[in-house]
Amino acid sequence: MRISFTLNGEPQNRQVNPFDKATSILAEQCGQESVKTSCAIGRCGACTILVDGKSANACLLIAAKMDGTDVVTAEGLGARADAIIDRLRQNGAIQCGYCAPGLLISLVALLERAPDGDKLERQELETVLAGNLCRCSGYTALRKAILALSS
Amino acid sequence: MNAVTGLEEKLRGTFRYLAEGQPEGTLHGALLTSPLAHATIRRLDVSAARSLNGVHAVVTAADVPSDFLMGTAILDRPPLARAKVRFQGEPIAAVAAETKAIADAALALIAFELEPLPIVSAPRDALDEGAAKLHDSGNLCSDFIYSRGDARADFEDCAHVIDHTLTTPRQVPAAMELEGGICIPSPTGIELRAATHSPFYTRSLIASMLGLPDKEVRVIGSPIGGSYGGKEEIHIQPVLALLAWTARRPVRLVLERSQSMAFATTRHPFEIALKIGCDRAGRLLALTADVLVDNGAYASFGPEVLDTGMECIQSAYAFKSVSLRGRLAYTNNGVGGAFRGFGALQTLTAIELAVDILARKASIDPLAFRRINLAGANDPGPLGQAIIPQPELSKVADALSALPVWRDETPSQRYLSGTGYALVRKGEGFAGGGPNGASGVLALTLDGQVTFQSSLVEMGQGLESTVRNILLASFDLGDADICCATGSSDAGADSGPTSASRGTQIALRLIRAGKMPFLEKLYVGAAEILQVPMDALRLGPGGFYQRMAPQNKPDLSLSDLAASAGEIVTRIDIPGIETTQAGVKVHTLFTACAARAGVRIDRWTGQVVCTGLDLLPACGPPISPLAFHGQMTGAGAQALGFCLTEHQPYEEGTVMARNFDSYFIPTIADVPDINVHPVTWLAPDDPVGIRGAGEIGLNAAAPAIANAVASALDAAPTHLPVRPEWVLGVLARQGRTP
Amino acid sequence: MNVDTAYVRPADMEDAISIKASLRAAGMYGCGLTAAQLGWGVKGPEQTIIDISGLDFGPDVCLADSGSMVLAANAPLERLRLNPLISGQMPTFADFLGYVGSTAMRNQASLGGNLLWGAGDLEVLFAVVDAKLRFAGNGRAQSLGQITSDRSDDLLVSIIVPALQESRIFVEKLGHRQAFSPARVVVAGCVGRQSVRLAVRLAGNPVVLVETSWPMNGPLDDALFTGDTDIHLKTVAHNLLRGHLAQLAQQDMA
Repeated sequence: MRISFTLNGEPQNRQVNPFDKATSILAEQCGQESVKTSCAIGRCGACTILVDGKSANACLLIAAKMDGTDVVTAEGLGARADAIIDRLRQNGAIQCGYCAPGLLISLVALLERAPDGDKLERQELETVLAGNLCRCSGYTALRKAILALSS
Repeated sequence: MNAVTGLEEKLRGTFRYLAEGQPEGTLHGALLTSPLAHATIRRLDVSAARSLNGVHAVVTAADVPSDFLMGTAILDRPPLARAKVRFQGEPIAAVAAETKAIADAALALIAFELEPLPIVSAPRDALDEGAAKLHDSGNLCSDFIYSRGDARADFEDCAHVIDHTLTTPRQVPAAMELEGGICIPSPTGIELRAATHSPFYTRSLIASMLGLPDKEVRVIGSPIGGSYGGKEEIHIQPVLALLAWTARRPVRLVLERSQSMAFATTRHPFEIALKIGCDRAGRLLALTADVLVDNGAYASFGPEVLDTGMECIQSAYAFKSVSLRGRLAYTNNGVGGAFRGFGALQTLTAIELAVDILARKASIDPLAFRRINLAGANDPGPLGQAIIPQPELSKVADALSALPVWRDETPSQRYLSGTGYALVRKGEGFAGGGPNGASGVLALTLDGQVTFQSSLVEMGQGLESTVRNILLASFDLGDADICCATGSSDAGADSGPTSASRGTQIALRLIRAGKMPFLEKLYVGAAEILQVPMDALRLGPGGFYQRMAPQNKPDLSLSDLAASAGEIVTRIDIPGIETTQAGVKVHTLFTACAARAGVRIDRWTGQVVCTGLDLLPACGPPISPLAFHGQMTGAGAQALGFCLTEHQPYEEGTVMARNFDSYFIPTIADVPDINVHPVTWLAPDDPVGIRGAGEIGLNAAAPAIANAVASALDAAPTHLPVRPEWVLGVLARQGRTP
Repeated sequence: MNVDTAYVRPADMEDAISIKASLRAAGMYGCGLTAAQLGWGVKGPEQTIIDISGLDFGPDVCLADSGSMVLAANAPLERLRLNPLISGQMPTFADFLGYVGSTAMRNQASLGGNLLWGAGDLEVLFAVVDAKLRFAGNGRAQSLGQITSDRSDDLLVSIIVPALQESRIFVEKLGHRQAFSPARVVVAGCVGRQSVRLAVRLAGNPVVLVETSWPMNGPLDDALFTGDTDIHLKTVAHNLLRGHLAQLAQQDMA
């Protein structure tokens, strides 16, 4: 089938098998190396992208469902991610970085959802980020960076 | 200062890992792996696969020199199964094809017949007379024997004696980046881009397999998307190189997670039976240890892991006598290998549990008990070897006692809580025999940067930022004047493996050793160009300044110096800090660390939650504080997984957890805030001045968590990870069921 | 409508039903597809997927005059978790949603899918509150427990949670870690003035629902703990139910 969607603001029109995964379409066909394949079954979060503003596992998103959507990858976040990146840098929250683009997507979705002035509770942060596995950092610096950013 | 280089690129996804950004026309590599854990290969016919359109290479053991085997102490592993398969998931053949679909079709065309052999699944059974042999040499891969004093007699003098047996999990490194890479052939050689801790070692291994001179193999080993020891092992590099060399086309081969869960080397499960005793005053008199290790199918780093575990089994304590035995048994349960903590994690957890049990039995506070028994500052090492003195041990004990008291959990009907401690030490670098020495290069490159070139690798631990900090502290230069070149065999100098917590130590000592000779060359060059005496010059940000004429701009920029004088290069070689001892492998440089952990136990479900963790590493002053903290907190989370959630079970040689829906690494909700309290004091005459941060946090955190469980339950765990089933069983036996 | 392709997006509810009617067993309704696709393998599904995620089933949540809550079957779980009506009316449900899958999964996965696929955590909670499922073209709503066979043949449109009034609800899951884990045990209870409904799912077994009088006198019904699973999980389920019920009974005394 043919699908059209926007990728980081650019219109895309592609011939796909409806059950291809968004991971292969984005990484292999569209050159979005930020969409990492690690578990391929939605259990690690390394391929997290924004679909119509909400986080999604690209490995659990079939091509047919991409039709008509607005897709944003970490490569396309631009200035939306600046403040978060600064905080993560200051706290040393990232190590090997393989989980980082997916994590950044989840953080952008979370912080853009929370209305201004709302303080992000620790438990809510943990609930929202539990699907982004990081094997390096132990999460301590990440939690510190983000809770401080939202308060 | 950043904890890691490339942080923003990593977050934005523009950072390139080694299996990304393949050249146009790269072939898709794929593996045929064994469905059986132990079998004879009766037939293997790849002719149909080879003739499929779009297939450019199909390789099997027949394409590898018949005497080519891999390993460290013991060479026993072929890159592709030869005559026999010894674990489920072992590669039998590999293909390179134009697309994934063609590669999959080619795999399906490979005809093979496996004749099952009896499966060796328990290490104890493996060592039985009648057990099926994995290798001709038998199933005892290696063993360890050591004794000091007369343990049997000393037990007679003990006022308190306890024994405890601990079984530890098969923990999977489970880096987010899968094992894989890209190999690009040229007419005369190959470029191999695949994660390794040891670019030069990998280079000579691959060169010898392909029959190429070393110089025709270029290995780029980092950046790495997480390793923890898992990619210290040779993984798919030989198969990848073989495919590309055969196909004469670039090939990309990356494992799928389900393949990785079977293929990747794991932490060895240990069964550790300890007996320890102390006198009335709480002084440790005797220790006997019998350790049995499930090595899996190939030796890999198993012998070194066993040796390190046995060397550390006394933790940081002075036992009057010890009697130690360790055995490493081949089984068909995957392959055990290097994993952060390296055998010491298992034995330290066991001994620290035993120490707490004994302290409780002797009615002595566990911290006081540790202090009574701490090895002396100038004592020989645990196996009687000469070591760098460890006066910091008592400082670590002081710091542990001085931690602010926990805010106690509110007692409730439902939850129990407990606090546990540990104080441990582990050798840094490799045992005597090495490789402990290293080479590196300080160079003023043509673009005017002072560059430290080494074959050390960056895997997220912050090596590059640490090197940059060392360069800035060593030379009065600006951030733009320095560069760190890592991760490849291009360095021209083999720095040895980036493992065993040695990376920072090696970088620091290399730069320290090279600094004066390198500076001298720079000054000589600058003086000649500026036609002034050397002592009229000062190196500063951007280049050389004439002392008499202070100004904002250098009188000779580094790039002008390089342009006139050419590249200025100082090759540096440092010897290893090591001693050797007859009969046993020993370390010389030790790192100490203490930890405190809190747990909460749910009496209804048996579930254990880690509620707090303090780590007190005695590594000297951190060179890159953020990276240092990151090493500790990351190690804490892996220790938590080791104690509470992670295990790869095998049933009759079958891998049970094939992905992250059945193998559970800790999420952000599982890991508490981990507090790091560096103990920065080391002896003023310490020959290094720092210790590596890579492993020691893990080695202290795990026993502290295990001891916290023991303190909450009044019963020491016998198996890790702690299973809710076991917790409920203990509570039932104690009559404490809700 | 061309239904040759193995994936079809109906224009509206009627369209969906007519496609299903023409495909019969060769078609299946699907929504988030997060769980379903893991069983497909590389070739894709054997049936044509009729994707109902984009259909208008009304607002995610609305409150009826009777006090019951009507939930759209294709509402993504994460949107329900953040819905203020749910956190107001049934905070236990909102909190529990945080333990179902991950955020990214919950953004795709729907309530209806979780209730119908056979292993969803929410089924246990929805059993004790006696939620009713309303299917298209059939005014009568059915209780969860009655939907035994061919669950996916009809189009589930909404789920009705009856007015809970003073009922007190609890739900709890034991996984392999603190968050984002498959369930080993899920228990739930709904304590009304005179009766209590309890439900348990042990590992992959079907949900067992039991109703009895409140306050309870006597042991928990053994029927709750049947199913092919290890004794430990039964103990956990038992402890959880007993623990929660004891706490509620204490509250009643106070």
